[in-house]
Amino acid sequence: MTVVTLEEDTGIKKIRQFQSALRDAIRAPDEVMLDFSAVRRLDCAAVQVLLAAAREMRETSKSMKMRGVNEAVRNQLYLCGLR
Amino acid sequence: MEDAGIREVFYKESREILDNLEADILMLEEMSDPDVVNRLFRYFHTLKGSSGIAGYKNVYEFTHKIESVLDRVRSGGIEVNRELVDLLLGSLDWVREAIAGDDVASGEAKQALIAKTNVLMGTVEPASEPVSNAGAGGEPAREIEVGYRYFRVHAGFRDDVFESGIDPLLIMEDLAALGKFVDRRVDRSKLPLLTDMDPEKCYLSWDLVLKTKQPPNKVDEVFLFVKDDNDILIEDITAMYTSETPVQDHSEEKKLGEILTSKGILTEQELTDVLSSLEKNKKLGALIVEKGYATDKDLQFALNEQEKIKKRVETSTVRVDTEKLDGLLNLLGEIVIGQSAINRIADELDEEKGFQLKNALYGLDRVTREFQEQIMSIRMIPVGPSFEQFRRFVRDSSQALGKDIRLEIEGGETELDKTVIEKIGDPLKHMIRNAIDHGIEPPGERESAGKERMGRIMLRAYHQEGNVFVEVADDGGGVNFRRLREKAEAMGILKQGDEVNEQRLLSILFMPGFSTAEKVGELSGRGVGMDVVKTNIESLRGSVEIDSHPGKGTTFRVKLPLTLAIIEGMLVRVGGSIYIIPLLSIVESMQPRREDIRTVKEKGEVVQVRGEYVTLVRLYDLFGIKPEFSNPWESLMVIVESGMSRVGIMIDELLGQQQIVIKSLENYISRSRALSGAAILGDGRVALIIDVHGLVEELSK
Repeated sequence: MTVVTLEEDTGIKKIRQFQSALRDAIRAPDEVMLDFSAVRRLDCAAVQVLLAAAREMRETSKSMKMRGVNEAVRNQLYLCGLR
Repeated sequence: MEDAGIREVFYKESREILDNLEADILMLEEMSDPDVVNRLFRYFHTLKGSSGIAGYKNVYEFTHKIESVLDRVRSGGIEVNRELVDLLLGSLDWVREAIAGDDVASGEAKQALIAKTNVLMGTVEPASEPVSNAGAGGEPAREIEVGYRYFRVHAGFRDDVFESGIDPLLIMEDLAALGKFVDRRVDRSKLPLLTDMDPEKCYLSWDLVLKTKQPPNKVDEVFLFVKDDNDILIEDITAMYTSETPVQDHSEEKKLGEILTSKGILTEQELTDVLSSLEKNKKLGALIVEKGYATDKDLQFALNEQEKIKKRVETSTVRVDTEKLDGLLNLLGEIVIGQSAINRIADELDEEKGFQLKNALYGLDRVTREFQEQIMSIRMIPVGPSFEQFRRFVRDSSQALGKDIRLEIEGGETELDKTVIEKIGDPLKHMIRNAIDHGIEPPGERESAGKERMGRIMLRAYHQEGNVFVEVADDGGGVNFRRLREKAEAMGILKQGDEVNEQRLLSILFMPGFSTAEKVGELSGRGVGMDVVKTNIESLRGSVEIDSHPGKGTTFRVKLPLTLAIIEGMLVRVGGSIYIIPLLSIVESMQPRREDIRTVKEKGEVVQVRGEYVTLVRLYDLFGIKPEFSNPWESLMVIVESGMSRVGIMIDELLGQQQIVIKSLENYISRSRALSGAAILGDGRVALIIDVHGLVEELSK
């Protein structure tokens, strides 16, 4: 399992770094686990990248799991239509 | 008069809601899922609305408070924790009492709950001003009177919006804090592939309906800095919603496409695309997968959701008195009897006419069978909801004992006759109580035995060979066979040195007055119970067995018939009468030898069968009829079993087995416990059904 650990300040400032981390994780053959433990909230840019990644994972029938998601982030994902 | 009618409807409706609520609150404790919070909110919302209409002002005001708490939970202002779950469960209990009219108990409990609610609402960080739609302990009565407003909001952003330091998501969160979204669609159709996308550009837009108590300018203010150069449209659509309209519930009666979009699997545009290219005879799901918008797994998930919703709608809307169904079944029985009468006439006709009539009857027969199955299926309901009610019981009981136990439910969709479900509630509760009290060890003990601190009780239902099995399994310490044996010896049930296998030892647990508990517990250990469990289950024509492994746990396995209205019976003849013995109770049939028949003190006439003495029952004596054979060695004997006892019923002839539709006997026809009902046979004759359990009891008297 490939684990991508999100940094506390994952967002627009480091968005390209996050994008490439997710890109690499998707290319890896195994499942992807996103660790949100350090994240208190996300921004729109970060959620967009997550949405795009989730869609691509779905297309390749791979599963993307999340852990350490707090209520605020969960709510943000919900607001953006991510289940 | 009319008021009473409304209250009656409310009473019935609320009972169902309260049961659902309990299950969902407990689910929330296990996993904080936004869907569950939303459901809880809707339940309290419905309770609030209908209690107001039914005139329960106290319930109305109280549920309004809880609704506000849940609203905060939804917006992330209140964390889901034990404290919240306790508050919700307490509130649920209070509402239950208040609806049942328990005014005395209600007052104090209500104040305590309201105080807790206020603490919870008050300890929340003051959010960006107008968050709350019910201030902490404010003026509930006035607020309730104020209606909600509904706003349709479209929020599309320039793709370079991030450059100006604006975060659209933050704006959406601010908007959410004003009230709640009763409709929420996120357009992600512009979102490119991950590799192709410029992550510094904004691709998302939202279409929402906000329900709020805030005035229009508050909604406008949220978009203050973006409305000029972005695509923002705000429309007041309050007129489209009447003040008492319940929250629009998009989760019900949802179509597949809607489920997929609401779960964010499909975008609006993708759905429109699929719908426009949908040809006749083609399934929507298949096309969505074909176009690559969703995987099979996503689709299956959506289908399951749809099924769940459908089921919920069905079980919550169809209310038919079971007596009416019984009436239908009885009528059908009459049709079957009429059919066999016509069949007999067909036999007497000349060959050609008889053949034609029989052919026509054959078709009719098929329809009546299907008819019967349909009626039976109406009586069948899933066991899930009645299983769910045990979650609360397990939670509260284990907490009281300082144990940590989780109830897991499997096979909730298994269907069983409604009457059976109603009657197994108590026995199941008893077995679960046993598992909590005696089965699962205290956390410390579990840890030192290398187990998880948290104990598990599994409640499982499944179909097998035309029966339904319900299992209560725990992963506790298992039955202590040594202590069981000591206790059995002390009580004189076993003699020292008696050779008995484990199964036989376990069956002692079902004997009246037997308990291995050293202390009489709060929950069990009084020695009353397991025998009652067995009796109750047997009265449903079921059976129960135990399986236990030291250190690993104990499993109670209850076998139940699918329905109480039809049994598989053995037809036997005694003299000129026909009796039916339930097949489930029959152990074997045999012809006894003359030398095996004895008379034993206190037991009466017995037959020795492979070293064991079985009491002989002369059915003709019991019912006062004239038999063909009065000597046991000339007649046949059907050995039946009930509980720990076996008896041999003397009969003249075995006629064969058949499915029997049971008709109940009125009390004035027979007061004998040995009869459970009657059935009309194909030729119109009436056969009495023997109640083996009652027969054994009657004999022991």
